[in-house]
Amino acid sequence: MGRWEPISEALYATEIHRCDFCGKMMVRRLWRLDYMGRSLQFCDDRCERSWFDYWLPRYGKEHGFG
Amino acid sequence: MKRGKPLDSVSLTIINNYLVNVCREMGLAMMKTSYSSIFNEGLDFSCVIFDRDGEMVAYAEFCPAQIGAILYTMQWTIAEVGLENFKPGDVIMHNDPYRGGCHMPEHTVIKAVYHDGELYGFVGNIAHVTEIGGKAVGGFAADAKEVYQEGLRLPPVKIVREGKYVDDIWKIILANHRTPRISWGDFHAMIGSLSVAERRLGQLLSRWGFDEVLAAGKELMDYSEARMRAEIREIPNGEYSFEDWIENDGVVRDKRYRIKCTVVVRDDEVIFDYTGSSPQARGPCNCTYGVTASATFNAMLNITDQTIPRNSGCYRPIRLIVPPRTVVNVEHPGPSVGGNSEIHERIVDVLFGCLSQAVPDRVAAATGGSSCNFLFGGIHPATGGYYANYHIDGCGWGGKADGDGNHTQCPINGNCRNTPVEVFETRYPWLTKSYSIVENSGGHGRHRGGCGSLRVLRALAPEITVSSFMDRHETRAWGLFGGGEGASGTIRIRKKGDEEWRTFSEVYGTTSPNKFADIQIYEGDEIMIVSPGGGGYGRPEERDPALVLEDVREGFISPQEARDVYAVSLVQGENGDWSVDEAATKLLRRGRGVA
Repeated sequence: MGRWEPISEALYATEIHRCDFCGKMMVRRLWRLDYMGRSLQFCDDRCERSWFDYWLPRYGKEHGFG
Repeated sequence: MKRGKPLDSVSLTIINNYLVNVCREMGLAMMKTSYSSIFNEGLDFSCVIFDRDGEMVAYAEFCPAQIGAILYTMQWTIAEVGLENFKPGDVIMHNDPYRGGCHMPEHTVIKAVYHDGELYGFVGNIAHVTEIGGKAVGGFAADAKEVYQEGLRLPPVKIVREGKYVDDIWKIILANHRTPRISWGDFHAMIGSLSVAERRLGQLLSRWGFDEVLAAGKELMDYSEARMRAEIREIPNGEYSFEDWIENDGVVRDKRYRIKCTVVVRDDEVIFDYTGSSPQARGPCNCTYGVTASATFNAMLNITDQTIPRNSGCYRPIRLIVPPRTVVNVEHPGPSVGGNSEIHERIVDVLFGCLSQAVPDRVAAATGGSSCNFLFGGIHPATGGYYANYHIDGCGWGGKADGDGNHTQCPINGNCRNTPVEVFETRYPWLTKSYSIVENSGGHGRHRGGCGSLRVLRALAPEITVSSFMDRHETRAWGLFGGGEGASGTIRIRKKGDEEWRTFSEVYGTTSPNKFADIQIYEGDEIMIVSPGGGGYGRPEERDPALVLEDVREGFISPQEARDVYAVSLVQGENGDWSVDEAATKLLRRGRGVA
């Protein structure tokens, strides 16, 4: 289960964070999940669930989630 | 929030129509008051009303290609600026491709609408600003390797604060545009349209009540969602994959980029999974998330009931998976100016290719798939002032189950008008030597693909700087169910005194023959732009001979093509007119297994 994490609002922090499931941009906060030694970021817990339900069974192996 | 009493369907329809018409009136205000021809002739803009949650309540059908991007731009702006920081009279501008936008030229302006001191929502528009600085005149650096070459990037910034201009921001923006007076005029057309919408919304809220109008917006979105879910239920469950290619990125020659999508239909929801698309390109053929979302939403709207009110509710059953750092979801500092104008339509083609496997009677064959983006500018000999223009040409559209593809029309969902020759020649130092439809360029089929066009321009100024971003010059628009491919396009130059038409690679050594920037041409040089044709739908031998005859009479196909491809025998009378030889045609078609 993930947790909310704020995104830096420093003026020099211009990096755009994207969801590891859907690819959408995230603005002020992101949903952080630590899984199998990796740190993943999602829009919210819905994208986390979809990552497990849809993405992991299809693409997980080729991305090292044996 | 107080909840207004539920509205009956008649009242909901009236409010929906009112909101859509407010958006249309915004567009008319922009058309009538703007300075650039891409605004007042091309209508390359969209006008939208959002509620205070950033959900799109209504929009007008100007340029649908922008409707996904403006949604994400709006939602990003609310989140970044913070609702608490909006004040009456504020206008925010934003064109950042990484923050939900389409590409750098598309600028969004947003204004919060209050009624009796309470925030109702937002009005906004997004429009293609012709000149935004950067390395190429006209804002289309087709050989850009990073966003910093593409013009001035604006995160959400207030250009008007509580009704007063923020001069410092205006100075920065206009100092970075080559044609600041045109930008000034176009920006004010955009801001003026927000005032029109603000006034009209105020009238609606006064008449129907604040809570009622707010609630109506929610109900309309719920209604659209329900209608869209019902439409998706009609599509057979399954997974449908398709791919198509971009032929080069303007930076690396002979490298193609794949756009792949798998459409997963599950009852009343659908997933569009772009996994398998090529990694981000070095050149600007990348799409932003907003572009890919727009193309996806539009493809669904293209194949579903046109009477569903267009709002955020339509998108709720749709999920996107768009892997970052690919050609369909560019990351900083990747360039993206070509993604919106050129690749959007390729994505729609890919989605139609997927859905042709599920709902073959609702989709079309591939479009010519190029806006034929041609940019130019310099010092106008008549005025001594700087000018710049973004010129587009239409291409052929794909044939579909119930009809032929359109001829030489702005690619699907771009929806922009072309600039009339008279306006073009009045404003810019070019002579249009010819402008015509290209015979045999539409893909053959039971429903023929639309034909492309041919335009020849002669430079009348001592020097003009030109750029180009075009595609389908090597690849072709594919047909469906036995339909043929559309013809490819080209852009060529004939230097003054030269007899031959040559590619820009041949004459100037550009990496790409169709994606290049900042080439100086001179008075008397001529440019030829040929736009691609659309793919055909169904076997050409099944086309009604009467339609084939009409095609020949109109110059869309030749008599030879009529015989060889369509198996229709035509005879020419003494007056030169053609008619169908019924008996010979019957024999021809019988020989090809067509009754």
